[in-house]
Amino acid sequence: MSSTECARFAGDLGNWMEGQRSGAFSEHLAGCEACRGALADMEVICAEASLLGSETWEPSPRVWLSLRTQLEREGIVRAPRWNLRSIFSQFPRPALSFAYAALLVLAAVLVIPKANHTDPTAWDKEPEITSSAAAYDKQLTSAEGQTMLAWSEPDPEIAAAIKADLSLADEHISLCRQTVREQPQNELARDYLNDAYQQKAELLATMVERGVNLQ
Amino acid sequence: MNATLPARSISMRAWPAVSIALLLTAAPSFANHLEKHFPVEAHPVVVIHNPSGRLTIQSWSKAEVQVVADHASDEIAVDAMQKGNMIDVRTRLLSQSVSPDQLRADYALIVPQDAELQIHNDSGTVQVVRVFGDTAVETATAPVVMEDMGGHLSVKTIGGAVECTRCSGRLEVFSFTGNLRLLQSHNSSVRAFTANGSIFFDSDFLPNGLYMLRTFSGAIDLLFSPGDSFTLQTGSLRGTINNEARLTPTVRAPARSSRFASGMFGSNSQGSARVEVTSFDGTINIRKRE
Repeated sequence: MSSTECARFAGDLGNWMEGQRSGAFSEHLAGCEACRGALADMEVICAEASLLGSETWEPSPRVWLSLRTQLEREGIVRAPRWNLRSIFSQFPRPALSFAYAALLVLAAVLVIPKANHTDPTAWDKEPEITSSAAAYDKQLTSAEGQTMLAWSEPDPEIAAAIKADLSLADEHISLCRQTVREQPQNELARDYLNDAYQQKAELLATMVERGVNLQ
Repeated sequence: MNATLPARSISMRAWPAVSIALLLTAAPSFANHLEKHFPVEAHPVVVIHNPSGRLTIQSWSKAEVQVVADHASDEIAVDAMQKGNMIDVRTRLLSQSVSPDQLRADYALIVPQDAELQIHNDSGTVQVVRVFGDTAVETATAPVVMEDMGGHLSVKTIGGAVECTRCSGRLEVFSFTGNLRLLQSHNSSVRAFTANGSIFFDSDFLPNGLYMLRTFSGAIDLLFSPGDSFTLQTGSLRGTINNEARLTPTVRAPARSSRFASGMFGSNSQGSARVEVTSFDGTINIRKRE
């Protein structure tokens, strides 16, 4: 499948996710495994996001900054209206669009279920935490794969810093998961696990964003 | 061996030649220079995207934004454009094969005091002084220095250190490995997180203020005076806490206090500000000011 069609689909992904689905893109999807895979990832992430809607969370400042910048480019500085299409349309490369979209959603919604320590059955939530963590692992691994494929960093100093921090984020995730397994009722341990996932999502988003800015 | 050359070793007749040589070696460092002035209205928005270089922003009382940019390479270009009350400044790549050195562009901006800033400067340095509008800064490795700032400050870096002196308003700082230093500031709200860097906090606690300092493995130093009024909640999952504050246990401890493997909760003086200091395995030092 041609990259032009993939790019067009990436540009229209916002509309697609909002339910405006054209026949041309349906045909494209039928024949393009890469776009089908990326769309499936997005749908999983959006489904997870809606399930997590009951938690209190604050979107990352990066989300606000990106939205704000886009609005300013469109000349709507103080009128905060936006849709997914407007965000995706600025990224010409489909891999970047999908990865960035996924990471933005991840960075915004990553919330490991929090147990109430006064709840005597808090330990029952361990399977829920484990399954959430496994789901985030899967999404982050998928997003990392796509990001790494598209990533081209001209500055070796920054490339080294990002790689080192990605390793660090993986170490933190591993340490935190171990602590959560040992102390499933410990809310601070969950907070740190949540932080570690968010760190990794933010790092990947930074890589994609920098790639876009340097184009 | 003495490496210092005596001044008289250069004869008077040689000075013109030396001067010319110095000029020739110094002048071409920035072959491309841009200077632009933009008249603006109240609360202008200034957006800067620069992959690498030194960025300094100061303020003045004029309703005008001045942009001065210098770069040596012909592989990049700098643009400064006005769209309504927004000034967009960015470095563009003219070629896909640009070396890190060729990416470098230095900017010096002067903006109105009420300007709102959005800065993206990956490597190099960022310095912002005396701007009172909201400011958002993102860098990769560039350290960020802010002085006498107001408004809502949001700083995010991968490895850059962040130093904020005499800042007010709300402050949010996030870094992976950068050290964070908050000095002589009067923030109503502070949220500072660094994974592997350290945090040094030597600032005021405003009544009803909220101060959340958090690291993964870096040390946290929080300085206080005996008369400071705050309620402190501190804890570390695997690290240690050294506390010099004489905390009065509060009647009603928050439900979350028990989540810390080692932690403490109590108030200093009236306890009006809320301070939460946490680390995964870093050391936390709550210290009296000298």
